Amino acid sequence: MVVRLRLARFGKRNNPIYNIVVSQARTARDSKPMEIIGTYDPIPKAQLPSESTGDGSSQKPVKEIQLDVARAKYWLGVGAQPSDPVWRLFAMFGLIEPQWKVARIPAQQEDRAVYEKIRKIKILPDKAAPKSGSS
Amino acid sequence: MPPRLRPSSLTSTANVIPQSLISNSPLLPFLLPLPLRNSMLALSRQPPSSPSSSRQFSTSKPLASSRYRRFEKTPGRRNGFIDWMRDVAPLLNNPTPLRNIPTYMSYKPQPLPRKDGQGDSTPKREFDDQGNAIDSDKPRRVKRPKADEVDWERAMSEMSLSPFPTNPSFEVHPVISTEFREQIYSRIKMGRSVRRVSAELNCELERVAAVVRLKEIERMWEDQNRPLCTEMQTRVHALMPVSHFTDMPQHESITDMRIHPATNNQLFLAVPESMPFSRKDAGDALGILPADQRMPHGELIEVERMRIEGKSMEEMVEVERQREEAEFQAAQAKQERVAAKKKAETVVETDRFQFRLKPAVTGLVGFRYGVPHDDRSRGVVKIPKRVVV
Repeated sequence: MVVRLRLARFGKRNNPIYNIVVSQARTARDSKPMEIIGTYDPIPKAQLPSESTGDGSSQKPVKEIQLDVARAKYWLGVGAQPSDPVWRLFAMFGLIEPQWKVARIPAQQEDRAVYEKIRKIKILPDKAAPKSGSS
Repeated sequence: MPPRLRPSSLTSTANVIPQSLISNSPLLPFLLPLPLRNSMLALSRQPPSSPSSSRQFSTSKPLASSRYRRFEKTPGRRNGFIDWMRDVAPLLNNPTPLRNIPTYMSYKPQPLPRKDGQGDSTPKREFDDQGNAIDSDKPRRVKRPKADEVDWERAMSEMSLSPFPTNPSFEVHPVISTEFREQIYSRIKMGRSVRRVSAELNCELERVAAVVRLKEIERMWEDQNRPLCTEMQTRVHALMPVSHFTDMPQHESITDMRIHPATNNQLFLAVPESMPFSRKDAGDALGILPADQRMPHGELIEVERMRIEGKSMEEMVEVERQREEAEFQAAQAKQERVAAKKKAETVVETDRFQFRLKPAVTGLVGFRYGVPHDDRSRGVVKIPKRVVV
């Protein structure tokens, strides 16, 4: 039987929160796993005012992931298979290559090239405009 | 069958509506048949004939019954209220009272005390006696107080804690003044601890913390060019007793201790007569911290103890300095711990969310299996107990 790295749902109705678990693939989702190596809170929480950096760079809602990276590496090393959502989370930690590349990235790079090109254009002052009275 | 209130066939309402109802019912125009109603409305639009009925709110003639007479002691003046509003109210509606004397002082049965140059009034006798004595020594030197001038010193000493002049038994705690708050904030900005500022200015720890929080918000709003609504504050300060910042600032008692719920019940404890029983023993018996540690300014006990022992001022200052330093270092260590924990987490930004990746330890992380939720059991507090900012 395959050992999988997968999510086990906890929490309440409309209020999920997940354990990242190591368990046998054919056991029930919420059955007792071999090991709990982390948690994942899929509901985004608003950033607290004290947490923001102040320059207004990122006011995005926050999702929190806890993971025992050493145990995750071990289980990946012995051939445990992550499920798709766990794969996505592990890719954020840099443990495995992302399963899917985000399709928008090339387009964004294209946009950036166009933006850089526009930025380099110098806008010359109008020669016909009269100078101020100081001269 | 319910009574018919509006018989359309009848020309007269006398047999349907009792006569007493017609006289003062506000629904009268709607109860009457249409032709009669029109004539009634036309009648009510006529200018009032009686000279005394100059009031705006009712055009009906006052009845002779006691119910109507009660509000009409002074006809047309609403029991003197209109006169009061015209003559007295503008004086009381003063947002910036002179010499910080609350406005209500001038509304007392005895208005603000006046200086009396002749010295014949009874309340001013001792001051005048002194003045006369000085006069006899150095004739015509002392400036004689102008008659009918407000005696501000006496007004300050007479200032009570009761905002309602006709109810002197109702006393309130004075409001903290604007300058006092500014002093608290500037001291905290100088790097002093909340505890120390509280002890310096005789202002409770919680109040110092609250003042600093609100001042920070005020500064933020000023930076954002948001208008501050100080009208309410000005008015309240004019109406309430205010504790001002002086050389010996005193706003409230800082060593008041909250009543611990564990001390509400009696506890009988058999103790040998020869054994001393201290506050620490009492705390142990009740299962709570001793009072010396629970009180807001426990360090002042140590200061007082040193003072009684007759220690020199330098020694006391040194002990206080060491205590403050230890406190500061403990706070700094806590800050560093929090910062290190925050540093351990990495942040991944996506288009919509910020993922916070935190390290965890297997065995300590996650939700346990086989443990039921007790959030529905009796006595579990479900509302938030503290504000997270």
